[in-house]
Amino acid sequence: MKAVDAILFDPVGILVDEQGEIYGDAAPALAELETLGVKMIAVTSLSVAELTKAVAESALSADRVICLTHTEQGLRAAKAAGVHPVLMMNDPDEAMRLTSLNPAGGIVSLHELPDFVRFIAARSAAG
Amino acid sequence: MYAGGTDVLIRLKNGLTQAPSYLVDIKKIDNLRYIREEADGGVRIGALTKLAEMAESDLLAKKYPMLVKAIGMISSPELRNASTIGGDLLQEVWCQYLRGGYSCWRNGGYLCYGAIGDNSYYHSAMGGRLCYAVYPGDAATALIPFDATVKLATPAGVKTLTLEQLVPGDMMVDGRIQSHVVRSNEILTEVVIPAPVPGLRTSFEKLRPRGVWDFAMASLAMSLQMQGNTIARARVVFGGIAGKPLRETTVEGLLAGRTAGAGLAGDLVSRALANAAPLKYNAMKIEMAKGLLASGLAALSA
Repeated sequence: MKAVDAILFDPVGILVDEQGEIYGDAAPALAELETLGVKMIAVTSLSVAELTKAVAESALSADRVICLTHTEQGLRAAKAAGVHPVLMMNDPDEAMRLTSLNPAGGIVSLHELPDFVRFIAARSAAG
Repeated sequence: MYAGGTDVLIRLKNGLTQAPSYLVDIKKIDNLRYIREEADGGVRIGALTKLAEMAESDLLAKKYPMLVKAIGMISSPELRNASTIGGDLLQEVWCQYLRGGYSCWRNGGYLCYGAIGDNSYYHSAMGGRLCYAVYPGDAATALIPFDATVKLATPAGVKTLTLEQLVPGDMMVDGRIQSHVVRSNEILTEVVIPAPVPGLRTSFEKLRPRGVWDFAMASLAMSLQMQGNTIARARVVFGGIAGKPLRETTVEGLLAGRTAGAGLAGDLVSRALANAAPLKYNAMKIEMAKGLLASGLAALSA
């Protein structure tokens, strides 16, 4: 990863829980990402077709797009769609299991996402 | 850059991605190895001073007994003979995933395994910022209550920082995540401790799995500046529970103006560390830290 221009996500498990309650860290993270110029692109499902379509419609390079997901299906679909799968580590034990699928990265909370984006850029700049 | 080598040489042996490619050995620069009393009563300690030299210093024992106690509780005698104060302040975290070569934030990757794996010992119970490892150093924790500062030699000249500024927790520096702010072209040269003020009561306690060697599960360095029997100012600094030495400013504020004596801990313990965010296996760190606060306040009130 050299830089992040956009983040694909299915809102459930990322922005809201199964009951539709928005996570407390969502709004501040989204606001900060907007100031960083990162597009947040919601998809209705994490299928390969939907992710591929979202990347094509955004006219972005897939190499600069991450897909944030907390599921095995999401990780596999992101890889197949050519974007970087990043694990939302909601459940520690499940997240540890999913690291065997070699996600491109992982975060514990949405509040880390802006730092995630900044750090990728900083590491890339440092060579 | 290395002197004692008790951190960086292990990183090299472990073949970590983030280990340096080249080493500059500075341990023979004797001009950076001293413990010196200043005319104003303060003390300057060269960055290459061994921890054992600090622990055995009569001058430090007389002026800052709490610091000497804390230094004497770092690791083991053998390691204190090799380790320097500069190295202790700037040491890398000891997360078993990092040291085990996992591709984590500090080792070329983009994920914290400690946040989702065994986080019972080396990881923060106060939240994190990408990396959840705790800052392991005791010296910084113990120096903060004395309002100590450090000096860095930088290409732009000498820079002075407080310990809190030196070790603010996970920082992105030169494309790396590290606990301190020192850049790769800067050298920590000196620790400066102001003269002890009359009426200053201090304490340091550390809980660890074994009586030697181990890092803190939780530690607490405290100072109470007394005016008569009234606390004029307090410093409450926890170690081993967060990505940095953690000042508990809420408790500090509540202590100011109170009278020292039995029952001082009172409501303070329950109000401490209100922002705790333990991971799956380390909630006991918070209970340990609160226990240290209760016992520390009792000891300083006696």
